[in-house]
Amino acid sequence: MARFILRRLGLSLITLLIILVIVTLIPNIAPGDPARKIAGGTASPERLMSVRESLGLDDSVAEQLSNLFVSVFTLDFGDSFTKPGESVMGLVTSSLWTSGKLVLFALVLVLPLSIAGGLLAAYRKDTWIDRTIVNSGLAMSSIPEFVAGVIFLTVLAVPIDFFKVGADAPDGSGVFTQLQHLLLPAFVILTVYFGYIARVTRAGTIAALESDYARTAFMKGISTGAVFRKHVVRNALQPTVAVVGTQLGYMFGGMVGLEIVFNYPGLGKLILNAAQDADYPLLRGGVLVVAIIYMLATLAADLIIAWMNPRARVLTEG
Amino acid sequence: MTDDHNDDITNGTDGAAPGAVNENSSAKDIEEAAVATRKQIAKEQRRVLFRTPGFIIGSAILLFWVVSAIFPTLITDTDPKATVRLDDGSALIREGPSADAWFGTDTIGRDVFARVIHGAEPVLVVSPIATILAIIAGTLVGLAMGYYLGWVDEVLSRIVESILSIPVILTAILVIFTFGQSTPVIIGTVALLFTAPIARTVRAATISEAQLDYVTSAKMRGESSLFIITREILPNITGVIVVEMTVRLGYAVFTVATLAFIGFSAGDITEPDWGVDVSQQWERIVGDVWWPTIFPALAIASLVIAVNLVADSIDRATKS
Repeated sequence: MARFILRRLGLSLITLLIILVIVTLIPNIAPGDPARKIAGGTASPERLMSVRESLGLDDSVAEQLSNLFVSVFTLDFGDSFTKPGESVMGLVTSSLWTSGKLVLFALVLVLPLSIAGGLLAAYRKDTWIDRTIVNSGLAMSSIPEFVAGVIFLTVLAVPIDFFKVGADAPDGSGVFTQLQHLLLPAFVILTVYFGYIARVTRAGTIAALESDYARTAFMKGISTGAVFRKHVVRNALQPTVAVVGTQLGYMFGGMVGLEIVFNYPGLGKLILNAAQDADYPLLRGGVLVVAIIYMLATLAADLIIAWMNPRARVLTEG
Repeated sequence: MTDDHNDDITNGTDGAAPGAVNENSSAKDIEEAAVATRKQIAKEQRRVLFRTPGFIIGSAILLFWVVSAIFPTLITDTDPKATVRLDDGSALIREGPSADAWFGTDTIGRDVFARVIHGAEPVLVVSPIATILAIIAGTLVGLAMGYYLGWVDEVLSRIVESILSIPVILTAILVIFTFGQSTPVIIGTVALLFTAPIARTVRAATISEAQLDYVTSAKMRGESSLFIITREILPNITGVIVVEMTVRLGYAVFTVATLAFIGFSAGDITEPDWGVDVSQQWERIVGDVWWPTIFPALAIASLVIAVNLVADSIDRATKS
């Protein structure tokens, strides 16, 4: 197990290094002077100089890369460009916390419902229940979040007072009020992920149910419930764990459209605003933090899978 | 998921392979027979496909939007950029759906129905071009990874993995911000970002094909790698590639619409575009003016659902 963890960590570090190379190269291969684009067309030469210096564009690409490497490991990306005196990491951490609240609440809704849906669809394979879950999942999971968001605003938030238009509760609200505000965006995440996770769970469960060990267990006369609990679930849920792991990074930083519709100051919105304000240090820092979250989440997922299934410890090493 | 696609096709070729080794004189006939079997299976799969309800509904919706994108004036002759005026000359501004404007008019009196019909064009130009570029690049990269394995695969796998570890929309923001907002940049960004997942799928399919007997026998015949990859493996993984292409087209529509909504579109924002129109109008929903937002939003939803229905039907047909 220790060898597996070490190898898995090594791979993550290589991935992170490649991301750093890509992120460093982008402004260097872009046409025109990025400093001019960021400072604005009418910037004074002094201002331009300071922009160039803060971006490190005067250094060689190798120096820029090593500086960024140090930034990632010390988690210090310098100061924001448009908000003087505020550190990139401070801004990112506070948005990260905001996004985290929504992601956590959404997961509490999404995981039990969609795993139950997937198990049910597999257990009632080829019935109308199965077809409804599979087909609605297929239809819903491809709709952009902002589209689902504006539809929910129209049919729920406007006519029914209980549902709130904005996801960010006023300062000092209690837990219940905060959750009430987060309910609609969490519904959107449920809409997007229910079908996806249910389908993956269903496929994993069907494969586990058709396996030799499950057949043997049934033939020994063990009750269906016990076969599910003791034999099927542990194996069936591995693909689900993998999918949730890869989607966590997306939930933290990729839901830009959803955060705009519900005016929620999460990580996605922070990164978008950084791009709109041409705050390159903040933009770059935000994107890298999302990449780190993705890596930690997939690492955690792989470790959970290795714990659930000892064979995976060997298989993924190949 | 994509591994068991072409069992039938492979068996067809497989069955022919031993004969080809034993009797050199009839090798050509047997090869022709194998091609004929493959064609027959393809024909059978198409027959199943054309009877699938999901495929029929999905294609019909898709066809409607393609017609709207190419010949919008066939469906509506209202100018999508002009204010709707009644016969007495009064302007129809922010009015709900009625006989004069089926989907109502937006905050400056433009006809929402006309904008929805004309708005099909930008997304249906950008998404397919980006998807096709990504499929070509992703297939080439995936074939190389899956066939050569070794260090080629190690290096490319790490690059693919790192592209996949940042949400597409964030990488797109970063790239479009640095390279400027224009149609070629948006197409190039989406194509580049989608190359990674396609390469991963094609790699997996190539690896499972490369282990089969027909590839081994081609290697023993002394065929070149290029021949084996393009003439032996590629034809047997076309099913996987077609499914991947339709799935990615759905994601491309998703990504392009989302980029337009968050303010990364190439065109003039007065031009009709679903994502841009939603971004311009959605704040009016709280004032009960829902129609300028909901109709383009439903158009986006219907297009991605249609593409997904088609993708899922093709996937099932190639597996049947």
